[in-house]
Amino acid sequence: MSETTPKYWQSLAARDGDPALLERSRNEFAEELPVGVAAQPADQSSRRDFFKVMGLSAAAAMVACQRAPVQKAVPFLTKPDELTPGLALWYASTCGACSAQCGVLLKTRDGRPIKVEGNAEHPVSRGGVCAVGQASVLSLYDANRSRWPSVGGTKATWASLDQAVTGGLREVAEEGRAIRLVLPWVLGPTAEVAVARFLAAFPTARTVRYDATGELEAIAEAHRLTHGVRVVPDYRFDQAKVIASFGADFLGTWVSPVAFTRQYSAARDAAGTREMSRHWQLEPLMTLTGASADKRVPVAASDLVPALAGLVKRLAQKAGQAVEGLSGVPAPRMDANVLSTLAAELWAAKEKALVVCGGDEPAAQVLTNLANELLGNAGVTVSVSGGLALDAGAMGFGELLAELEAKQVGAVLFHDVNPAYTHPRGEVLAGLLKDVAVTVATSDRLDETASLVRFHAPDHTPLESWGDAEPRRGVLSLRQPVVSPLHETRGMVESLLKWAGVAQSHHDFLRARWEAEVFPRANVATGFQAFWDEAVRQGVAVVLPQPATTESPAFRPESVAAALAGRGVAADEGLELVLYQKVGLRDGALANNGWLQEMPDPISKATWGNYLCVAPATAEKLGISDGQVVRVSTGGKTLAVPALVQPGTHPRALGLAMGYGRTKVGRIGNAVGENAFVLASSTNGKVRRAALGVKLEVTPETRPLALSQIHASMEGRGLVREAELAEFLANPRAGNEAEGGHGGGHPLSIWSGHEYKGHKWALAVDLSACTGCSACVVSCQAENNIPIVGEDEALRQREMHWMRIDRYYEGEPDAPRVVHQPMMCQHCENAPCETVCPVLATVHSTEGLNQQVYNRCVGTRYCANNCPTKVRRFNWFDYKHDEPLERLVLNPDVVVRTRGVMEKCSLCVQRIHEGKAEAKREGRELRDGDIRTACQQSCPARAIHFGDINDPDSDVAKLAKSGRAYRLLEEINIGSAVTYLTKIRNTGNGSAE
Amino acid sequence: MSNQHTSTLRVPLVSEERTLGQLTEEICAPMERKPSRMWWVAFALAVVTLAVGVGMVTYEVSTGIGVWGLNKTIGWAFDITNFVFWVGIGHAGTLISAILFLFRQKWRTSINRAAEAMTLFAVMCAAIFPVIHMGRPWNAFWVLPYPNDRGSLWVNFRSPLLWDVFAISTYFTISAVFWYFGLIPDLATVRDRVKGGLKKAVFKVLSFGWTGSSRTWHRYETVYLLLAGLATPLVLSVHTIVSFDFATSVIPGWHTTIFPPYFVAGAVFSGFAMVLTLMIITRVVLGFEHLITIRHLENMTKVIIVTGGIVSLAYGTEFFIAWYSGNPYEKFTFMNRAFGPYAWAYWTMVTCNVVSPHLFWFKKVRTSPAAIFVLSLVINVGMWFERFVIIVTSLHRDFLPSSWSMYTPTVVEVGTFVGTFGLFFTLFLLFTRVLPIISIGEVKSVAAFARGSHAPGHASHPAHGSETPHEHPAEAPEPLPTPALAAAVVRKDMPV
Repeated sequence: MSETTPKYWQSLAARDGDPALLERSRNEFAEELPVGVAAQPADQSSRRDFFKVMGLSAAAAMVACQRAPVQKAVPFLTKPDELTPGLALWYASTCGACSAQCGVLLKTRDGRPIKVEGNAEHPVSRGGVCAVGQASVLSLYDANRSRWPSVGGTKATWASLDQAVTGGLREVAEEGRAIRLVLPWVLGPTAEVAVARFLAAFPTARTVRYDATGELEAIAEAHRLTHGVRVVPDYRFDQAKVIASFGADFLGTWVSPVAFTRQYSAARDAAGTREMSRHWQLEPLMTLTGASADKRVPVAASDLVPALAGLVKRLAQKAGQAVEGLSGVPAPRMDANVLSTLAAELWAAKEKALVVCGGDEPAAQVLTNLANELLGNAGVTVSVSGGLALDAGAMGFGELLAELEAKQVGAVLFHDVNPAYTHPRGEVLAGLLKDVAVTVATSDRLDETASLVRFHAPDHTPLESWGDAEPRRGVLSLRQPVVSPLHETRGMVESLLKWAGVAQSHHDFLRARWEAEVFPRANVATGFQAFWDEAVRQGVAVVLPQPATTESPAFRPESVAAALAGRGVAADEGLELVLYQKVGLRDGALANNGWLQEMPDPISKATWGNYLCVAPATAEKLGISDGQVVRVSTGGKTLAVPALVQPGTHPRALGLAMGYGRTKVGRIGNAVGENAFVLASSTNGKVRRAALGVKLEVTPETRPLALSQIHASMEGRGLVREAELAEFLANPRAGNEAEGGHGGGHPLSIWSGHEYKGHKWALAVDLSACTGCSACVVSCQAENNIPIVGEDEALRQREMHWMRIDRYYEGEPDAPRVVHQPMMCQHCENAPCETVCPVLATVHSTEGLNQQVYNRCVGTRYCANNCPTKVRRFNWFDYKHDEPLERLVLNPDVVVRTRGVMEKCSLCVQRIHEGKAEAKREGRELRDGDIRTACQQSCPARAIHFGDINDPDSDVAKLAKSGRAYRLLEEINIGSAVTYLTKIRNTGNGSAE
Repeated sequence: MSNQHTSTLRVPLVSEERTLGQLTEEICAPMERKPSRMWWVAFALAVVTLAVGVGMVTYEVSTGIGVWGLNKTIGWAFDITNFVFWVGIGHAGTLISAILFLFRQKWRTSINRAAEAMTLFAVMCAAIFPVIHMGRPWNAFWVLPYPNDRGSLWVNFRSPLLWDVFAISTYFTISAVFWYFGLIPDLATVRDRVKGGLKKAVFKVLSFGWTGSSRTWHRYETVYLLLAGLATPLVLSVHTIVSFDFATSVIPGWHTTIFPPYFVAGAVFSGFAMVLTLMIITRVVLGFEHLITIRHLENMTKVIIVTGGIVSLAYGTEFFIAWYSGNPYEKFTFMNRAFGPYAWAYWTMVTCNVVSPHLFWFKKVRTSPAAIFVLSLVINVGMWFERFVIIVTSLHRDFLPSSWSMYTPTVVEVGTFVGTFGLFFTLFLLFTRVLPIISIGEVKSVAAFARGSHAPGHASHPAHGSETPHEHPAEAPEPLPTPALAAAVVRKDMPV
């Protein structure tokens, strides 16, 4: 076309080059087709829609005749030695999903990681891994991650970015203006060294430590006050005979939940050790930990410090010590007998007791430290010297904000923090950062904070990078990359080093540090190479702690009065908002992870989104029902959120989960729920996330909650059976008397039953060990390619989880007792599903499995209707795995199901076959424990046991014969292959129902 | 049955005096005249409704079952409710044509043709649901035990759903054969009335060369009797097997031995209600009040009283057994039905099915077509709700309270259900246009002249009727020497 050819225009907007119009003109269809008519109100479908649907179906009928596209599998030209197609490779590494840094094993197939499992060799996490850790593999393939570095929002090369950042930093440093490195509290020892190198290179640089939820910060701050060191101590719940937790959700979200769950369940193995710790939980909201407690007392958030003070007073009295500074603290508004009993029990378990406290208030942590000190727990259940030492010289984020406001800062680097989203004053950052010359973020995506900075240097995900961690002093956990970086990202350590002028790769830097600092402490006879190889193979090295002293710094009694100064006034009687972390989403960093969003909350059973937890009594008083939208106002900010009546909540407490309402996380996590962080108060740089005085306005509007379980009562059906410890010790069948009665033997049968000549697979689930943490749910989802259905479908109760955890309440709504029951296909002997399928799509295997044959299934759903435990899941739609990147997470051993077919738990049949093949290849008998199902593998509490019940020596066969064993619905003679073991409680009440 | 004696005390089955020729004319008239405006309106409405249904089914099949309101707990709701509802409707046809025939209930003659047609159409509507309710309906043929090259794949003979396949297909086949067989003499009548052209050719083929000879009639009646005998067990079998879908399961509320008789009675109950609905409209629109008389309607309401009573007894028995068995799950299910979140559906059902039929004890109600019409609709609503209550309230709260759930239908489900009415009425309206909706041959046997006492000027006919061994004498203006010759002569230009 020549220059002179006249260009005709269609409309004025086209002539003026309206960008919206241009964008539209690129699309083939001017409007999007309406999908999900069922979701629309009836009055929205129009004649046009009708014709579209008609046309679409006619077109679909014709398109169906098309040949399937040819897909080519390209073989390796030179096959890597270690790679055998079809065989998985396992790498030991360290989880990077939260600050707990558990040891994990990463399963890779054909070069791509597909599953996170616990590393049983790891001395801290000991084989467990939580839901968040499991889900981190999906975040690796998150399509919304940044794929390259960018400067000012446009794609850049690393070289140009480095040049600009280094130049900018030098300039700032030369001008003597401040450089601030905003980091999380826990980074890992080698990364800390890299940070130190950076600080050394730029004399004006300082670290700012930021904690979105404030929990680690409060613990570290309290220890600075009481012991003079910023440390998160090493807690040993397995050593404790009495545990008193003041709002610490240590089984769900607090500090290191996987390790704590393992320890906790070890100390509560009544069947094995004939002993059981007593667990007290005083908390405003119902948490996962509270649900497991023997004694749970709802206490308002503002009364936690007074309650702790009351406890300390009583303990001090028993110890005959005087404690200064408690006089100003008001008496807690709770039953004083509770504290007296608790104090007496703790005192009786002296040195083997443990007091922990959650929340972001250092004063409460100081009192906790004092309580532990009075009880003499130091070194037994809580070890300051064995804990995680945190950056002693760091500034607080409040100080940084003050500096930014004073325009004293020349450069800010954000790593692994998102204050623009998680800080109550996050919205001021946008304005403040404009005045900063060099702004850098290393987050994995252009999130709320990264989108405010000039230089975005995306970090690897933990699965792509090297690294180390020291979750307990002397335990060095190594992280190795299990896949080459998917995008043009670069490890943050490498970036920092580069900007500091150290030209060393992350790997070399790490290895050099290990050679220089770790190896000498290792006390091994081999050379460094062998030590390193072994550490990489094991994922962990246990070395002499550094510093070597195990001497705990002395407690400083004078710190108590200082910490409690100004706490004389009792809070008013109004409602108090508590911002809490959900087990799945925590602080919202992984909000774009569909597995976590869809994981039902272990307590509320809600998926997708947050809601205001209201106590039943309060809800009744205010006329609030589930899903009713309420407006919560505090500090001039208002959020409209749906309410959820949560039994066990303190009448004055309101709970709202953090981590939701993100705006720049990606297509899955954006606009799910409301951002609770904005409601936190921030005064003098101190952020408070609990006991916020709020005003509540009830609106007539409702917003439905996507609950996976609607009914909370067991209706008196013996589904979960329980006994009191004393009863159990006297009679192993306590609480389980019904078993073996009319249900045990069905004498009359005209059919001889299935015959199992070889194996007969079975599960045993220990309800006493299970805390309900839901790690198994996500593990199952990852292993079995279970689709994410989304909020809309979850609202219709169509989540696809093969495994769920049923949660029932019992007793008074204000202080209910909670039980969790993992529920999966029961692989019934007389399976009701098998008889009703017209096409034999679900059949019984010779090894006792109830097998679902997907490609035979026509989808009548008769099997699901006839399933007494309702564990079958139907593919209502084609759950698309249409994002090519996210598809890489699929497990090639498990087929992806099409729409219209039924699916359910297979007892990880692919793992059974793998185990059998392996045993056969090695020419040996299959051993008990060779095969571990996905749910069993990741359970931190070891509540799930799998094995061959035909083998009398197997774990599962022994458990099935124990007095605690029972099977569900014996009265209808389904012959479940899953054995449940009664729940044992140690409430000390003497008798349970 | 032709030489049966009819008491003069009985109310005549054809209430107005008609000659045989007039009867033929009258019954064939709707097929031969141009359709009325009202027919067109009704037909247009039916076709539009059908199109809605086709659209909904197309959308559902192309998108997935997810467009319905089902969930992980409730796998069946509208789909199987509609299936059982329509199969139930389809029950009256066989009952009227086979059982009433065997019991020599002459009053069936003027309604059996339409009732049988209704049966076929209802079974067609019913058969849609088991297919479209499948997740992968394109594989529906897998439920048939045919030799295949897919290894050892076979069907599961233990599955009640498979029994359904056989029961429904057998029922449909026998009903269709029975209906068609009964049509043959009338098809010949139509053939003989048609002047020529395609229509003549079609009816020629359809009437299988019917001659109307004595021997033909003899064979016809023998076969008709045998077919009636063959169809009779099906009246019991179909709904018995449909009830097995539920009765053989383990779900409380489904797992009930009373279901087979309960379902059969319910099916007859709803089937008669539907026949009444259709017949009351038809007799008015087509002017057949003298053929489908109040007596016919009254007889049917009596059947409704009886079957309604059986159904009520079954409801009561269910509750008694739920309590008496001591089974906590079953007890809960029934308490939940009556007082749970779907109590409104349960009490709708009770009102419609238990209370409303008792209005038929009043002669005034029983003989008022308008009242019967309203009550027949009420009963059909009630019977639909009965199936809804059985399916949904049993499923939504079963053994494990953790999976308890609620069900709300979507537009697609309602549209599909409404669409089946479109199909049903489209077919029925076409039926009234292309086939004689009353059995011409049979109704003549019960016409007034056959009663001997008040033959209106055709003196020879009563004698003729009682002499011949057939109930369908060839009508002729003049008596003919022999029946065989009459047939031979009349065939050419006279309607048979």
